[in-house]
Amino acid sequence: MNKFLQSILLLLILTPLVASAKIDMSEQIGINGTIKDEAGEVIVGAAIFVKENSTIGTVIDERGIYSLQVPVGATLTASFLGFETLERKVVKGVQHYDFILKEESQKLDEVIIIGYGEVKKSDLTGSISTIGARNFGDQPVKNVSEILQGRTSGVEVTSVSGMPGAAAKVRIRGTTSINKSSDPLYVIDGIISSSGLDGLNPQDIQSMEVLKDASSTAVYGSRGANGVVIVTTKGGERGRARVWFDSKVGVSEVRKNYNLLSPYEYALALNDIRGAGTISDVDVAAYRTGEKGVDWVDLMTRTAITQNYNLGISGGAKRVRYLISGNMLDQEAVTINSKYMRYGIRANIDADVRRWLSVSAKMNGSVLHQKNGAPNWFHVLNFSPTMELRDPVTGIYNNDPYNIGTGNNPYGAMTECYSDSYSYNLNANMRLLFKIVKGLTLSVQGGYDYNHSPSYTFASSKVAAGATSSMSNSSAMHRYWQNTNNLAYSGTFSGHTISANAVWEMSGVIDTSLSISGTGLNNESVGYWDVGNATVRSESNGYTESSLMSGIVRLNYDYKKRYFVTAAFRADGSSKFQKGNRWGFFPSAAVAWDIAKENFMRNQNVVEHLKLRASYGVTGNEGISAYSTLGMLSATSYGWGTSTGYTGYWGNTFATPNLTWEKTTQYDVGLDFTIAGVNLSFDWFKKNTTDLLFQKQVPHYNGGGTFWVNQGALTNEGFELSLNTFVVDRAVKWETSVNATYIKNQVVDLAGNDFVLTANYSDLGGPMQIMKKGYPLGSFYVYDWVGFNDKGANLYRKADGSLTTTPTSADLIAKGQASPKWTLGWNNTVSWRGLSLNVFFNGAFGMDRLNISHFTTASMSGVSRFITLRDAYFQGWDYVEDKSKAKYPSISNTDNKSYANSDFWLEDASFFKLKNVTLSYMIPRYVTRFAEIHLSVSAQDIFTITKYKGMDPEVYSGYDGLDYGAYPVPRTFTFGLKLVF
Amino acid sequence: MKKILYTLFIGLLTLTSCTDFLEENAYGKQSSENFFSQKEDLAASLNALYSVVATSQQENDFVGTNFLAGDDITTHPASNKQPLREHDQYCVTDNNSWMVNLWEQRFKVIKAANFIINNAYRTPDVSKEAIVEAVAQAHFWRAYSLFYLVTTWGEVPVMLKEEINYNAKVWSVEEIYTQIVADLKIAEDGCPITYNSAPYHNGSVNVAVSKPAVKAAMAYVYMCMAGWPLNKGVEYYALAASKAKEVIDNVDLKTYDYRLLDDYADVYSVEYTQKNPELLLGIYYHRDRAPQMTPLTDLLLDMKIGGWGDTHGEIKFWKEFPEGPRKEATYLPKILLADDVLHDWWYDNGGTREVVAPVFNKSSESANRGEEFDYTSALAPPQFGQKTIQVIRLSEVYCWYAEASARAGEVTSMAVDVLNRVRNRADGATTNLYSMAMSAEEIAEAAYNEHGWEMAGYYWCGFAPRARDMFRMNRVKNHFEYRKSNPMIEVAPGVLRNETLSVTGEWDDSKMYCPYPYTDTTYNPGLVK
Repeated sequence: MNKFLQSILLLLILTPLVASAKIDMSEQIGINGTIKDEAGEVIVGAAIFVKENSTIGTVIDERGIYSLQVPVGATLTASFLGFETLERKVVKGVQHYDFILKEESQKLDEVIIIGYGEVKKSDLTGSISTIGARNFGDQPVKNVSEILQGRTSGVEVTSVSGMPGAAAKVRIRGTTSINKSSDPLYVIDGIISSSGLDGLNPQDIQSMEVLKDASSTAVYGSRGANGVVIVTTKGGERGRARVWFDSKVGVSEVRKNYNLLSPYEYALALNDIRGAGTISDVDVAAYRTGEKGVDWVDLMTRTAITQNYNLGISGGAKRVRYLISGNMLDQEAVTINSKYMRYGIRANIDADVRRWLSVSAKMNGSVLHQKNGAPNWFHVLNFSPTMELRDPVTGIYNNDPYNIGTGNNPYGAMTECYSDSYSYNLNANMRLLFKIVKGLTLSVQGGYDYNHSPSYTFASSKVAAGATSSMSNSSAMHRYWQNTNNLAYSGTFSGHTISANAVWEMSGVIDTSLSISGTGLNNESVGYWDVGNATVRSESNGYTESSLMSGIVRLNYDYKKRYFVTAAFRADGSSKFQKGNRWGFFPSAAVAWDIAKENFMRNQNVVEHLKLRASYGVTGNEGISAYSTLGMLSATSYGWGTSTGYTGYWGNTFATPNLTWEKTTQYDVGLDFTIAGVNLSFDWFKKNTTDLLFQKQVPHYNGGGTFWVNQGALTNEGFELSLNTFVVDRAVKWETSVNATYIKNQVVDLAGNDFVLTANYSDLGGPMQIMKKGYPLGSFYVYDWVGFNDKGANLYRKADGSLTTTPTSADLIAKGQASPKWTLGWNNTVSWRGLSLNVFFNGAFGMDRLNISHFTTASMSGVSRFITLRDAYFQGWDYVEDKSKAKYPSISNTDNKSYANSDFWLEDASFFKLKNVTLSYMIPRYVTRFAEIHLSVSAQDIFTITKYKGMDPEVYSGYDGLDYGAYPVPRTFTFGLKLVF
Repeated sequence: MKKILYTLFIGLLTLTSCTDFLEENAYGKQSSENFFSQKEDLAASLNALYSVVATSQQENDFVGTNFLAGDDITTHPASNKQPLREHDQYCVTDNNSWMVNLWEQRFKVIKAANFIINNAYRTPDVSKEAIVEAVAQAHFWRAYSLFYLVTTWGEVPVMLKEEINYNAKVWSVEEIYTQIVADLKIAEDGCPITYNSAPYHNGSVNVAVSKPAVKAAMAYVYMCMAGWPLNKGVEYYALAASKAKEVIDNVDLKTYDYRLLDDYADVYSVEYTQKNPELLLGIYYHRDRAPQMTPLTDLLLDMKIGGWGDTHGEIKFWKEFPEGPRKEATYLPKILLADDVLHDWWYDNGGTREVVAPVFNKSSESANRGEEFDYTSALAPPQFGQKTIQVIRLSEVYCWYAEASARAGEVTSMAVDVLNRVRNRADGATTNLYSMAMSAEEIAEAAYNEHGWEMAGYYWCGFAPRARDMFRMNRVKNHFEYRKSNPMIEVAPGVLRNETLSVTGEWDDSKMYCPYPYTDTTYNPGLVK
């Protein structure tokens, strides 16, 4: 092994010096030639070598010519990243071989990475979408979920928050679980990503495959029910070393604001409703002149700068290929004092060590740093503009005297308090591939994820009168290991092709945490760095571990590439369940028929390609946290009136020893065809999730809370359509692709309950959502608002159809849904010579948001005692002369009841966004003489067509689809410069 | 290569045979079965119980909202006070968003108590007395919660073990009271007169439940059983009187270490919050560790310091409240409004103030720790406070004794004496208003009123606020009619005021109780009145 490592190191060092070697085979011949692209430009760095003996080869230099000594009859292979590889036989007597390489596009013999293997796209039986680097190339993509958004059918990506570093919600073919994660499984270079995609640099991604149907996901068994995203990172290619430097600088700002009352208007409104003198005449005058008053939104937002830099080198020699890249992202939030930073380095090395052994090693290290969190948007929108920011004598920030009852001054909270959260990630992954005999290989892969996430917070006593200063310092450590052993066989016998895998896999996770916190700092200048300075201290730590043991067998068979059959079976044993319920079995099968290959299709040229697919399979969800079934005691602490913490334990949770997997059965029928240059793909699917890992409500008279059961059922049914074509394919090329997905999500059974109420906000009116048989998840539970009575009080429709100002729970109705019925992506790339324009639209339709921000700014509620929205006052019942024109209820009528869970606030959040426009221009190397230069300018989230009244229809906070001070996605302009040497 | 493969397969087989691989190692977690296996577990279980108790009374959506039915207190006519308003207007709906918390918190306490009652017996290496003491406290808190439930909802499901039961049946009011009395008797036998060490005793007072506190609670429970709806009458008033007398006798003999504070202003003061000698039972908080949220609730929205405007005084009660130090300490003497001027509460700024009402002064505290709340200062109180929630005070036991013995038909010198102790302090002078010349009925009503004034506006306490007195005496309906008529009251010479929050509808006895929260009636459709 030592020797092996030494040789890798040696090769690494020597790589840039590409060697050419002579091997004594038979008759040698001296040849030469060039490698050019279709435009006739020399491809500097392209590699040419002998297929039978890869030690003979070279790369094209600036002069554009190669010369080699090769055996007659050898096969020459010319290749370059992003181009299709070309082969030619060396013929006796011919000394000049020129190659013209075509730029790579999606094509049928493209290799698709499937779980535990790969197949040619033409041989695919399941439903898998691929996104290659070319699909997002020059665009200012800052995190990986942005790549998935709108670029493939069946995948719904929702930007839940516009805060830098915030995770997006990703759903593949709908939401399959009620109480457990419906996030897809991410697999990076064969290793399950146990800590998400945060540390991954989008620029390092070669391709992403989205596994959607059960025959594709079933090999991931207990973790495959939500779909699987396989990420393959870039590797080096044989050829001259390429060095690139990419820099992008962006400017962001909030796209849309609420129209709020000015300080002067607010003062008049207060005096009108609460009584003259609530704000004194002197102050009213000062608010009018602008001498006093706070514009909270202006105070809390800013123009933010984003910087993103990438530097990399890649290349390869005869037996070793490498890629090393580093990146740095510094992204400011559009609200004050927050930003997100990412630093990363990746090294990927592939080596053919022996004829029978290849080794691949991949390492990714990253540091993420979140400096301060998001401000409380609910406070920003609702704090009274008529107040002093801070007490003039003490300098302490004031709370809101008129509107917000609980909660600190948002400006004080963001300026006097600070926090830093870090995440240090190291992902290492090594694979040995043994070629045992022809067709039989054994892959032994080991992966290790190490993640250390310390976070630090400091809160000053200056944020509010009587506030206590505090600090905390917590550290979470996450360690995941995986060992996968994959015995693979493939062979062809007179038209019959068989490939088979047998996999044995084990993995384990250990999470530990440690935290200390203190309140009442004697000297606040020490910030969060001296817990000894705190008068009261608390500490906690914790440990969890879980493990999974799995066996997989899979068989692929085809006859003459016409008829395909795939069958797979996975068994998973999980430590999260108790003995007897531990093992889950996940079978799947798929068939495909390539009709275009049939004889009867030979004599037509309308349909170029036609394939029918069908699949069935069972996958699972084991997503409960470790120890969930044990009913462990809850720890709590009480001070008995002192500042000392006395730890206590009580039986607040219930043991559930019979708990086991949640199962999802999926059917899929698909058709892929190409007519007149248009590639079309259509899939119908139905997912039935049963034995839901369901968090059943314990009646409050039993102490409340929840417990786990395997009960309940859910379906997701829908279809996907994707289309890809070159609208114009001449000197100017216009490639367009459209994908659309329709999903109908429906609750079938709720563990015996007719319905379950969720999203409970006791201070806003109670549960905001309902799960109910026949309705989709994320259905809102609201009063049916019909108008105002003759005194301006809200009128609601009762269950019996009559109208009332005082509805009861019997009058609540299920309405609307948080997840879209339709999602749409439309991507266009127009290129002409070095110019390229990308225009990307993305839309979601048939979804609603309960706009609680609208409610709180326009109502006197449990959390906001007055209104801040301009229209709520000036178009409110009390203000307007013609009461029929009133848009908002009376705020002085004591009989008026306002509920956040009223369809008055339930708004259609369907949207169509111009998500990205990028114009880029490439100056070839032969012009600049030193490097290829890419210049680009982009705009993201340029406009949104929507009826939604809030800041952004896409984002939400808290529960699914509730906009309760959600952070909007900003508009961003980005300028990019990329140099390739 | 063969070697490598061989090694790999052997390795795999070894791992496979290792079935422990899938066993969970729950380091740092404790299971129910393994708890109470060390002597320290007993104390830890009490820490948890009192933590749950403290949480259940730390904010007013968890406790006390139903006591707005009382004639001492009311709420804002609009703003965000809908959940409170429904109680004050006697029209509580099953979707009242705070009521579900009010309901759940009582059952949480019961659950934490059951954990001790059903398991603590197996704790090794501790004296039998220690177990009895812990279990006795748990019985008290279970009874305390059941008492809240039976006086707020009437018939409710009673949980004596930790279980999930979607088909739980309600117990009758009689059955629930029987359980309460049984629990209290166990608590009475097992709780010590005083605790010897921290944290159960803080050097000045008992922090945990003591025998005197249990006896006092029993006295009041018997009074409630004597009254509406069980109407057990004289026999139970006599039981109540004898329990209260046990407390009073022991206090007079100094066997129980309690006494009335000399000055009523000290009763709810910051100064005495950790050492109130008349407090038989309190729930203790600390701003840094487990704060409560009372400081802003009683203060009006339009005050300079920006209160939450949750609750304020009813005008008729204020008007009839006898003048003296007690009244001065109960209500804010003046109100500092936005104009920086201290006004009388009836100041209405030309009819433009939303709420014109007296303001209670029992729960607020200063932002500066250790300082009393100063109504003349513009310094806003903090949101989180640490004043002790006072559950049972000695002055209440005096009133209960006087009322119960009188309603049992007796006029005793002790009743007159203890009632005068309460009133003399309230007057700040030895007025000795009450005498043996009074009839039993007069003594009873005097005690009823004195207790109301002692407790005025203190709806957080949860044991015997004014509303519960009215409930047991079946007088809520009288106040309902009064609020409907809402006459003007002369609050100062020539100044007429009445309640801003209107009450409408017709009385029926269902208004005595809250409806079951609809969340629970959906889990258990059998839960119907």
